[in-house]
Amino acid sequence: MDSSLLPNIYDFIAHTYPFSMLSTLEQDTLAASVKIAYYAKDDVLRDENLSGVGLFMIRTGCAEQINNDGTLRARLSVGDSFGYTQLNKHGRSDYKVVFLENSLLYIISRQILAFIKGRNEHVGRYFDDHEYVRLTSTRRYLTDSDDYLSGRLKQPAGAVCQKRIVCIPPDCSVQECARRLLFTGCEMAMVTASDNGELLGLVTKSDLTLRAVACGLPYTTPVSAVMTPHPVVIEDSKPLYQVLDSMLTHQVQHLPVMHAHTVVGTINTRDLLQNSLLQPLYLIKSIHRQLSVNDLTALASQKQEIFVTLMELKVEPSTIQRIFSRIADAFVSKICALTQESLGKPPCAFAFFAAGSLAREEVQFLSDQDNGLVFERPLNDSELQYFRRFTHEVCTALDACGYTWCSGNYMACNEQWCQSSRSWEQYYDSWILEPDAQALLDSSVFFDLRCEYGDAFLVTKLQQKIIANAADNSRFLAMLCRNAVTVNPPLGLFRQFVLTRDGENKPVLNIKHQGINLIVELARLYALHSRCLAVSTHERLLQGLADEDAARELNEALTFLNEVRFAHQYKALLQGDSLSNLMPPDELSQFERNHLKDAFRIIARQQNAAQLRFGKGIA
Amino acid sequence: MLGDKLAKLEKKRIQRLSHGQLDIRLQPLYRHALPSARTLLSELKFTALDFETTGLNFASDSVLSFGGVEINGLQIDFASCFHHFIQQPNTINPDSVVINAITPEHLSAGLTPDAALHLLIERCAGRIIICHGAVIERTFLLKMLGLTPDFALPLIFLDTLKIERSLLRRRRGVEDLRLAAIRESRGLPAYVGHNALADSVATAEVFLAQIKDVFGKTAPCLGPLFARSQ
Repeated sequence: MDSSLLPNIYDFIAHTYPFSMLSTLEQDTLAASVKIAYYAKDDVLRDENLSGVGLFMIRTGCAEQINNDGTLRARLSVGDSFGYTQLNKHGRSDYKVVFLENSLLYIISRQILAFIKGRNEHVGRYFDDHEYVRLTSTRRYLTDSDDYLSGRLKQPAGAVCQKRIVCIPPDCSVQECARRLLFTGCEMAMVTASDNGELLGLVTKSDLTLRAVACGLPYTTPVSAVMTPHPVVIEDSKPLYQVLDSMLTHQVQHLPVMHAHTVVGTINTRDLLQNSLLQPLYLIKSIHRQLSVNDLTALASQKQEIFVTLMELKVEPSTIQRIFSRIADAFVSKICALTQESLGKPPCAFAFFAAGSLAREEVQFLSDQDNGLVFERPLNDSELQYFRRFTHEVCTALDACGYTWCSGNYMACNEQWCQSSRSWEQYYDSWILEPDAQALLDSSVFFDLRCEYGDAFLVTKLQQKIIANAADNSRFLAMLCRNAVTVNPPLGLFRQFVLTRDGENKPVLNIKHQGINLIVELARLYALHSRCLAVSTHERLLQGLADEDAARELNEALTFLNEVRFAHQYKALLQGDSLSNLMPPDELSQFERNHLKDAFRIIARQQNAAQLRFGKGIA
Repeated sequence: MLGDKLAKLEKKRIQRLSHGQLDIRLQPLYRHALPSARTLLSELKFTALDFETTGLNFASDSVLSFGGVEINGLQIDFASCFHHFIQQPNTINPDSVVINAITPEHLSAGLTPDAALHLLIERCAGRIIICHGAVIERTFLLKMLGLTPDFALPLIFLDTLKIERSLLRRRRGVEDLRLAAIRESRGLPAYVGHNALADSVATAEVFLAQIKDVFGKTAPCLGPLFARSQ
């Protein structure tokens, strides 16, 4: 059938993900097989009318999916679809669909769906039976990112440089030189000795303009009169990182790339930008070089550029978080060192440690500071004054560097969190051995620890204390679990609202509190239970959860939620808007909505599983 | 009483069959028994049908194209779509070309009138026909068969225009019974294309919506829709 006769259906299919990924021919095949059904308000679709039928796409109207236990599963409107989890069922379905308005549905039969799934991997993954595989289908970035990152940094100049070069003898005229540049599209010419090919100098386009044309030299002037003699060069085996170093040191934007004594290519700053992730590395290097807190604060603005670059390079969210954690580490340790320098020798050994997201290496652009300080032995008042000043100065400097004051006051400058090793141990004893729900909620951030500066052993002792006691204390785990499941993820997004489990509509999605944090808390719970030393949520899930499928699907959900969060923060940055974790649903694409629903469903399921596992510990 | 009318139609069909002497082109239509007023819609097969014509004068105008889609088990089956142009003996009326965007090239590449009629009969036999303003399709079909407009074909036509009017009377709404207006007031998506196929699908969707209005939660059957289509 000619698709122009029925633009509606073809258009709808062509613009609905994942069918938008199909070829026109496949889209036409799909559209040509659609069945159309109409349901009135209050009509119910269930069991044999739903199981094994196919994919139901809502063209107009809206509907609710109700689980068999009567709970709301999702609310669906135009562009949403249902039925694919019931494709391989017979008879009784897992849920029923109740129409809230008169609705027109397009139905794609199981057979056609299977055919298209087999042909197109996007569709295949999207309609996989498992939410986590569907979330995998959202991957747009490069994987194995740490290797990717270091691989990029270690790439030799020779692999990245432009191989097309112009070589001219020193007596070549400037006009001929300009002509050669014009025809080859090169930025500069190499002036080489006619006999042995030795590099004598460089002539860039700007040399021709500023040194020849601007000075009124005749076109016949030999290039030797305007070239830069004895140029800085780089060996083709040198890593990219040294290329940038050399460019920054010598204030040049182009470098000839040499192999032995022959020019094999050229490299410029643009090649570096396109091919590397050098910015974070350079920031960290320059943080270490600074001599005052003021100088450090000036560097903080680079974080934004780095975030933008990493997003443009499609770096995986967990890598972005690790890079930002490394940057934060550099700031914290440098600030501590500078502060100690100005305050003099401390009265005893101590450690300044990160808590919360920095401890988990999950810092992002918006992260505030969570930290504490532990000193070796109980101190008298005058000794204590040192650490009061120390922590105050460090936390103030961190705020100035963009790690804003923690709203919960979980900072070392708060006397409560600047304590002796013995006091900290007492804290943990009371949190773990005599758990109290509120106290635990207030202290959860301190169950993620990482030493930033000072005597790391003091922090290790605290970590050991936690690991030794937490795993065996079922009442503690039960309380932690209860706290972890207090907040439920939303069911999904419905039109311009966020739909919560009690059927209530909220105007904004807080992707941190209603999503990401829930996974972080589950991971912490499992890590404590299995005495796992890992700090990052990804690692904790992999090591702490016996159920590999559960670990995998939670990881996928976490990655996707962070991806959505970062994508929106990136957009806000580019538009000059302020960043937040709050998202009005109308700013989310249909693609994001569909997959958020999957992520939320995974979280809800794993919350239930955790509750079954640990909930019984409460008497 | 209306059941009577359906029964009468069926009686006529049987009579004519037993008389023999049936135009060979008509025979497929007579092979299928007509359903009764109580037959459930879910058991029936429908074809939504639309003609594009040179005008509304049955004596002088002719069918330019026809399109349709089947409804089986109360679902519109897109795979069953059909759409054809019909070759014209004379040049077509330039006014209708503007409305329908049908060019002489389309038409000359179309079916011969005989082939078109054969295909139409095949598509309609054993099925209930749904049209928006069924008098046009019914009358032009009779004309193509060389029959008078009052000939009692053994075909049941349901008319979404008349069904909609019967529903509106009850609701005391303003009467705009054009297909596009009905779709808009029912919240159905606007159809971009103006051709026989798009209109037949648009009609089929309206028909599904009307069934919900007419029958609510009770099992829909043929009689009430047939009555409202008269």
